[in-house]
Amino acid sequence: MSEIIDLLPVIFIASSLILLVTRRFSIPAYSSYIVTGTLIGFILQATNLGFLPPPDILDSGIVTGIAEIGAAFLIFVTAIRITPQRIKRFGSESFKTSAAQVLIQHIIGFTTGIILGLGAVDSFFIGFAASISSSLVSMNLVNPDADDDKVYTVIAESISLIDDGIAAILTVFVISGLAVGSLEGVILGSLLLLIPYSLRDTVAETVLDRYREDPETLLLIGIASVISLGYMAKTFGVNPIVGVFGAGILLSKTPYNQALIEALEPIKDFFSAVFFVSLGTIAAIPGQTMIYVTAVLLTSIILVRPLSIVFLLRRQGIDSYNAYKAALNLDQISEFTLLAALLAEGTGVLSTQIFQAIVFTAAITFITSDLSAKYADRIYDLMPEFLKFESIDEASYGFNDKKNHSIVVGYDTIGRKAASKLENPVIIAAKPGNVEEAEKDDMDVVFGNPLNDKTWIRAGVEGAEHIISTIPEGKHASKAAEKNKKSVIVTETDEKAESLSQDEKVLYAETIENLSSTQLKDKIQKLHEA
Amino acid sequence: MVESFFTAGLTLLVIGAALAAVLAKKFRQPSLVMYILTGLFLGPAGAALISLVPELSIDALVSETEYITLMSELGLAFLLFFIGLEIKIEDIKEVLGETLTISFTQMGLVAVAFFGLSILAGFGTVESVIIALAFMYSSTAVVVKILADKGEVETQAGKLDVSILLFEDVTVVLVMAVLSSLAAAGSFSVASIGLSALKVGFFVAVIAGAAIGSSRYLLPKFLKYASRDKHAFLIHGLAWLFLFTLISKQLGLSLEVGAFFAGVSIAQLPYSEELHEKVKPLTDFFLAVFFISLGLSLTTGDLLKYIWVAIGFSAAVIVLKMLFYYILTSWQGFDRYNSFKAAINMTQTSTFSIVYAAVALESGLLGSAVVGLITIVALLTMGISSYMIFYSDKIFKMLGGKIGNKETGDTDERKAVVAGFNEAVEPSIKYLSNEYDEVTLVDRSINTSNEAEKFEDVEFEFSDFRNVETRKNQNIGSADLVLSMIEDMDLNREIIEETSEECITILTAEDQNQGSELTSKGADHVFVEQEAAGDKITEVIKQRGISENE
Repeated sequence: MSEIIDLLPVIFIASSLILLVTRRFSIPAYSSYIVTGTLIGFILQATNLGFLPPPDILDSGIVTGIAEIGAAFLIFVTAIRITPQRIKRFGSESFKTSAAQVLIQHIIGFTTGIILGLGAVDSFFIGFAASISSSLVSMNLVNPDADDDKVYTVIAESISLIDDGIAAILTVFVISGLAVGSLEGVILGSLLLLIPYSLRDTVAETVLDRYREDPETLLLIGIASVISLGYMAKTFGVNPIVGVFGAGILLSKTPYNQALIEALEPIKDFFSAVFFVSLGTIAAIPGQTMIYVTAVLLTSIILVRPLSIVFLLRRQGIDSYNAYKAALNLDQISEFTLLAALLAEGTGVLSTQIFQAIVFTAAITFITSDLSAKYADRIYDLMPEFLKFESIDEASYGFNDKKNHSIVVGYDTIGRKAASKLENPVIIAAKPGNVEEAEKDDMDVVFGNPLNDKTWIRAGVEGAEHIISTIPEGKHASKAAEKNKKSVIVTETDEKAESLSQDEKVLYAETIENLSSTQLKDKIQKLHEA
Repeated sequence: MVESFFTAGLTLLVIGAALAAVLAKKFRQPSLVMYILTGLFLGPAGAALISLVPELSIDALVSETEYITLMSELGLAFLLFFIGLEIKIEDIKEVLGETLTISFTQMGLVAVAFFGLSILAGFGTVESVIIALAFMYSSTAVVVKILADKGEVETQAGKLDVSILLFEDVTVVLVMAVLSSLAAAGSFSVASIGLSALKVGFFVAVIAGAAIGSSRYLLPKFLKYASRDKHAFLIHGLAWLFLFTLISKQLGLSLEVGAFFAGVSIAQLPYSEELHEKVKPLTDFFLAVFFISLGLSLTTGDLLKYIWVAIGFSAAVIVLKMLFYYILTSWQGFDRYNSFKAAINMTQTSTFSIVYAAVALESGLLGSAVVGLITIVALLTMGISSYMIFYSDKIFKMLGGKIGNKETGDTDERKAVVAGFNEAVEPSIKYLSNEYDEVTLVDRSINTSNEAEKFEDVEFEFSDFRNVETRKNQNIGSADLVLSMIEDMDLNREIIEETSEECITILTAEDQNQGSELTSKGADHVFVEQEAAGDKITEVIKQRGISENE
């Protein structure tokens, strides 16, 4: 065990150094960790420095062991955050999309395995790996800088949570059934999910609420749940991942779980580094036989999955921009799949070759999905029209010929208040919900992406007199300013506001914070003087 | 081949830890007492106890495994790092005078007393020295926790005790370094003690120099850059910790010395509070495993061999420390009440008595029975003193004392706490700094600290207000105004619960519905940024003569 004590400093020091470099280029953390792991593996093999652990540590199972622990805690932390509220907002769209694309991907993966002459179990795992996306990415767990209130973020989160639910069910019914070889394993596994779910409310009131202000006790309760339910699953012959997931479900009742989520934050950070670095260390370039499997997995996850998600979301009325932004958050292998594969390989259910292929693909897809999320806007702009599936259910209404009106971009609170002061404005709404609200308020509304010139044409920009842009983002502010109309613009930074104000057509440009600051101060003064 | 993580032993251990934490709260005991008892129950001692039942004979429920050993090793390193994060040199300088006198004298007197008592009890020289060293210190974990719960940290006695404990924490590490070195040498002769002390002194000076030097020249830039990323900040902090443990190991010192100085180097910077909060959960967990594993290593024989000596020594610790502290604080000019309070708070041995014992056991300097003795003394004194501290005022009155104007640390100063910063709150902070005596701005962005310099008389705290420890440290329960710019409903609800009724609470919500909920729960005002911005925009539209909907 001293080897782990020797390995941990290497993991954290190397991660820290790599993060210092990669964060400068806005490369997200888990990609950095994977690169760190690969470098550690390389350095340990190539050098013999006294203060570093010996290279045989890489083959001793220790790295796999700590990856297992890391993945277990990450899945637990994810499962704690699974609440119906998180899925509800786009529940129907997400469920249909998730179910359909899991089926499509599974068929692709499974068929590939059979064609290549692999057994049913290995083929199943290929399909499993191809079909489930990572909740870590979509729920912003490892990369907290991403926006969490955007439509596409919410959709991506819902889809990945539903993916996790499907993965849990597949793990119970198929993987555990395979491992135990009987219906008994399936029943026991199901109980490990159902019983925690049914006890959620009781646990929330008797435990989570009572120890809300005692983070030390809450943390120990959380960790005890993970390990004990994981062990229980193992004893029943079920994959421990089911127990870990069940432990998370048991403690997931909102808002009672909030204190526990806070207490687990450093644990999550600690183990995400451990897990992804370990992953990078054990990832190896697949041998000749597995190159086809890896190629199919990569193509399926990086290309087929996003496109199928976009198609499915467009069919349900989500605009192409948000559909792409959501899909490009979901193009990676799930940590759930990885842990299931780790544990299955450990018990001999899954072949080592397929395990290696899955791990290698995971390492690659975490990096590529970072890049695809970061450059999603550019990717979207480069997509040909037919791949935006614009012909599907696109509203054809427009106000192309309208004149002397005002265009209001965005129909959240600011947009609504602005529109109420205007005579017969046209609203450009990017979210389906805003379209409904605008229609309820009897407003002329165009549903579309404000960054798309066609949307402006449909809003009658040629004949418009004024533009009130209320979406506080630089891109939207610039787009509004470039239309060369008298504008009032809400933007995100002081610098942007100042630069926009140089334009003589821009009557007023300010940030939300500056707009609201006077009212806040006046209110505080009133309360203080009262 | 590495064993599986999901094992019966580890499962029982963590369940035991969770139950121990629950019971500790219930019985107002320090959690480490309950952890050790849990370890005793789960280990051979507990098995022996259960085997007393006729026809029931079991082995230990939990035995030491690879993962348990790993986590307990990490526990000690994290503990020292955590303590190091609290050592601010400026704070120590302020209280050096009286603290040094009381602390040194007390430690010396207790050490001499227990060396003598141990020799009288029949222990050898080496054992007596280690026992004396072990009993010198009082427990930061017990004292600070209970004082914080009672709101007495800022009292005269509380402040003195906390600063003494701070000073003791520094000496703990130095003594532990010498002990580890002696343990490695396997010899306790005068020559080897002298040599070890010199060697350790030199290397500790090297590592301390590296810590202080990096704290001045390297860390400020490094941590300023690192702090922008909330997630990576902990990783960078841990990397620093492990870097120092590696250096420490290369110099032949124990990991814990390196961990301590890693913490000290960060403690001098404003980022220490944030890292302190982030490291706490990891420390809590690994430390729980450490203490349970300590209990696992003790047998009934170890516990019973010196049981009466342990009871006698426990009584002696309580009486002698009470006496020495009372005399010394009175001598330094404290009144009866404060001398009594300062003394009664310190009537226990420290966590480090157990740590010293574990280090000495590992190297064969001590037998496991003496470790058992030291452990029982720690358990008894911590357990009893917890109640004594809690009921100290009643005890003082029972002894005929009169509590005069009780100094509670409360003042007439008006205090405002602002959580979170953006441009919307700037005018408000300027206003508050003119109207309130004390204004603290809490934010976990280091850019805010630069912004905070714009405001006169506003203190900045680099920390996350969502963290319950941060809110406790800011003492929002006694604040006059709390303004939170953080749009987090769970946090908002917590703030309403934790502030007094007289406190003006201004919270931030996403929309009117959330605002209504918070107002109905007691918030004085709910700021909805979008609403306020929307109102301003309509004003602008009107002013600019853009067509109006009449």
